[in-house]
Amino acid sequence: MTATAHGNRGARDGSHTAASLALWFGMLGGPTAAFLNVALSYLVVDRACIARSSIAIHVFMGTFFLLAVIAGATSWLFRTRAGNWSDDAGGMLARSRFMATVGLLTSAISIVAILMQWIPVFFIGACQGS
Amino acid sequence: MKRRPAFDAAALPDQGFSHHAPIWWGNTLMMMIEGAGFAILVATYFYIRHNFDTWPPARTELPALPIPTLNVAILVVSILPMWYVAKLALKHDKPRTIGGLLLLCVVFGVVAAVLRIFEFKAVHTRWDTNAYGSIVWSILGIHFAHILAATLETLIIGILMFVGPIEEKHYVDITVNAVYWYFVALSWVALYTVIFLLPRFL
Repeated sequence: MTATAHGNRGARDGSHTAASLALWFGMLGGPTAAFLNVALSYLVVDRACIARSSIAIHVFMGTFFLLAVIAGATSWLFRTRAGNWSDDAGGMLARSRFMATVGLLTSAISIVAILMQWIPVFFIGACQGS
Repeated sequence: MKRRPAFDAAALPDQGFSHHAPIWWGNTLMMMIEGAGFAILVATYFYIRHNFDTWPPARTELPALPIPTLNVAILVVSILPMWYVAKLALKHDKPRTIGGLLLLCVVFGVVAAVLRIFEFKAVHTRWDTNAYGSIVWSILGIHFAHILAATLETLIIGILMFVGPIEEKHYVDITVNAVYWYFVALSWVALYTVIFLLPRFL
């Protein structure tokens, strides 16, 4: 096998791995963002109360909201590129499309969850309940 | 004017432990949902078992025991410091003592997470080898996510105990976090039995 053929196969394997990681990010990025949003907001809410400013909470919420949106957009991109397949079809493209569909759904519910937690921050002060 | 009975609630405590706290109920319901998820995974495992003549399937070695057994022991032992932390939180003990013990529990969680990576190798199959590989990796992976979540939550409360400000509600959260930790550790005893021990008898 020539060096060029080795190089081509290496590049193909690399792009395959990158695509797999992107699909997993699309599927797990949203729920991970929603979980981190809850956990880290818990840590900063009392500090925000002392500082009399909710900016830190908004920064966290905005960052994780964006992360969930990017995960959803990644899934959407893969779903569109994979083409039109039924959900029970076999093969790499059909399975990629199914995974991207699941990613789209997990991202959507994560985006809603983060938004539902973010909206009250605009109306309820960080010291409420302390 | 008709007189109505009234109750002055001002003297009642702001927070309550155990089932008096709403978060305890939230945590309990979440554990029920996650427990149902584990039960579905186990049911799937046994359903798949019926589709194979031998278990594990042909050309697949039995899962190795040393590292998984060590990990299940670590998770069970980690219940002790967490139980002690919850006891101290009920007494509103010194935050730094509680924080130190919480960080000790984090160490247990990190060790369990690292050993879990080796457990993926110990099952001698891959997620895409066959249905056996898929279900075993799913169980390992989903419980892995639980270890990571419980460890991160414990780390955050542990940090809070050092940096403050500390309120009554944080002590309640520590006791609720401990219950979740017991759930993660003890559910693994059942799942370990299914993945690593039962194939020797099925």
